[in-house]
Amino acid sequence: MKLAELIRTKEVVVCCGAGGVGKTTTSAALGLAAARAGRRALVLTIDPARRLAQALGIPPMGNAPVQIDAALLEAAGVNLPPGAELHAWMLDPKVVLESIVDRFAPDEDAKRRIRETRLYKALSEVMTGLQEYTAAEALYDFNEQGRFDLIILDTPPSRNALDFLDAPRRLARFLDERTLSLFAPDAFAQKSSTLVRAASKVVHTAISKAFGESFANELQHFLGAFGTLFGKMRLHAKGVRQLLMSDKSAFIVITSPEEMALEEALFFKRRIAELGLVAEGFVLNRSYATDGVCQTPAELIELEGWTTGVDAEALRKLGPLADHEMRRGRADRELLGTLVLEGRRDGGQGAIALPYLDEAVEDIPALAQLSSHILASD
Amino acid sequence: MSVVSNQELVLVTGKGGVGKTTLTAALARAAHRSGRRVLVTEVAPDVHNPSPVLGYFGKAQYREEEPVLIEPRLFGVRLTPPIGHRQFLRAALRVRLLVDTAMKSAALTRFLLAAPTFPEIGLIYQLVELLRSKKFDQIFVDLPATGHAIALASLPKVVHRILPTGLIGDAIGEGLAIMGDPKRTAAVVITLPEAMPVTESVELIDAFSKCSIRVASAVLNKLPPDPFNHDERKSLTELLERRRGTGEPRLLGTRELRRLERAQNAQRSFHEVLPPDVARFEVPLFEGLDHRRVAEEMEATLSRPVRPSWGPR
Repeated sequence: MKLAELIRTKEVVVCCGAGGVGKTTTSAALGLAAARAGRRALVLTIDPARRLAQALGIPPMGNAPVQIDAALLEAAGVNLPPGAELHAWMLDPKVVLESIVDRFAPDEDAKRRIRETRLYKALSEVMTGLQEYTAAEALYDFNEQGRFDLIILDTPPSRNALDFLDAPRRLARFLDERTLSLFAPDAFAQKSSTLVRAASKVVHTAISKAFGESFANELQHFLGAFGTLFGKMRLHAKGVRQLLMSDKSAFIVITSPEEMALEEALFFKRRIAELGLVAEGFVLNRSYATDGVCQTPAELIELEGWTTGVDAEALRKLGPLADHEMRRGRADRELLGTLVLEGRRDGGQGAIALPYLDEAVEDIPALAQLSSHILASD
Repeated sequence: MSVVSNQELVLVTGKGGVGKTTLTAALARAAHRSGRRVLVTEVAPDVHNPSPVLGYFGKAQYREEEPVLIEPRLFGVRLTPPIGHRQFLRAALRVRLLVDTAMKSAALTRFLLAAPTFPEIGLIYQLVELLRSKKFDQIFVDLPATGHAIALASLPKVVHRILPTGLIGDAIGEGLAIMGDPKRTAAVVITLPEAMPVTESVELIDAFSKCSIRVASAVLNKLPPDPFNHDERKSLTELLERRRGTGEPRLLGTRELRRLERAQNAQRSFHEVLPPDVARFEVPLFEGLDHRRVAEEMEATLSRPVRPSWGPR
């Protein structure tokens, strides 16, 4: 897979994958690689990898993207070409929800009314479900603004991470006026047919019995107050989908050489296809697949002519660790081969491996090393 | 001492990919072996994909609403929003036909699945119904990874504030009472011997305690074995130091050696940073075993009291 070309040419790169495969790190490395290739790159992440954030000087859950200080990068030996920038933002659903209300509410009064409903307060307090919406929303927004050449999106760390991909569509459905009119018939009264009114009555009964009368009323009130925002938000949902479906966007599946990795990676590829999108390929993270020439402890013992003593004993005990490394190298190369084949199906480009680094990737030099591998991948 | 005692609800969580599901399966097995009636569950968005945790019991494809009998006294089911929604609509409307009509209403099901927090309310309702049924002595839940688990744990309090009454409000109130009582609920956090996962597990414990859920135990998984004594380790360190920058080819095995060192540092910090009232357990790295065998080995390890090599004094 020509990962370097993707980050040079695309406007959006979405990183999918199971939790624990190094998605956030890879996203950051892709962002840095893009900046090194001269682009203004933004890494949008939901998973707060604190140390990495610290190393990059990003505040956790800030209310806007932060540009990574060029001095920090230079100190680690990374010089960006003129005009290139690296930004990062750990998404805070609360902030994004606020900005939706700010932008779309017709006036101050409406803003206040929306913010005062208990439901809105609860919504902004409970993160569930909102992560996916806000990721989609922020993605669309930044793309529209044209402030960045490339946005790397790190999806949430779970198997339902792909809710994000489906979020625009689910949002569009949720915001469908026919759906809404069932819950807030007053807000859409003029459009309601007799049938809708009858259905709405059943739904209202169900909701008020299940949630309590006062909540049902509040829900109606809330949807009524939010009603004016929905049309515009629905346009966004469509816009997000169009953006993700277009040539401007690329999806990659990040995976790692764990037992279930292949299965998980294929699951993600399938899910992406189900959503009518194309997965460009796989990134096999933290792999031993690309290891070069090595010396084994046994070879070294022979070379040094050690037979007894602590040095020889230590190297002998290193033997099983070396065997383990060798086995894993073989297994990783096999896995990479399978991923390349699988990755080429359905219009994809295959797979590439990123090396296992000796230290956990928690600072800029390590990120720079990964980004070099990405840039050399063509 | 064991990871959990006889609490009726056991919540297992941790960062993605650290062995959460394996631990859930192992704990459920152990409880079952000790004679309890056990239900093993996981949180899933729907029932379309094979279930990882039920896969440990040969029921990965089980998609029904009612718990399936795996063995005498051992049951499995998935917690998914649609099942919970159906259940509370059934309770709300009572008339089956009406429920079916309501669930067939695309608008309603879309709303329930798309409106933020509603899917989670469905999950919690289903869980509370299972607890209420009194059919099980102990229910084990494989929770989602960190972020979603925290969101899920914090949800009942918020929902209860906006929905104090009604079917949902009552169910959530009951759920809160159970989850807030350490005699009835035990949360277990699992992590790996690496710097970041250990730090995150402490944050997870904090976040849970803010939701009034006490984390009873923490499990450090996949500890690599250490074959070296002190002198041998010193000899290797010096050898590698001498070779550094000499252009010699990389010595095979040093990468695993570094991993071992990092794991041991993380193990030390695991015992240092955990709150004192959280019981600690360690599970060695099992290599070359399939996931079901790993669960069995894990069960055996956890059934023995663990004396950590670096414990709190």
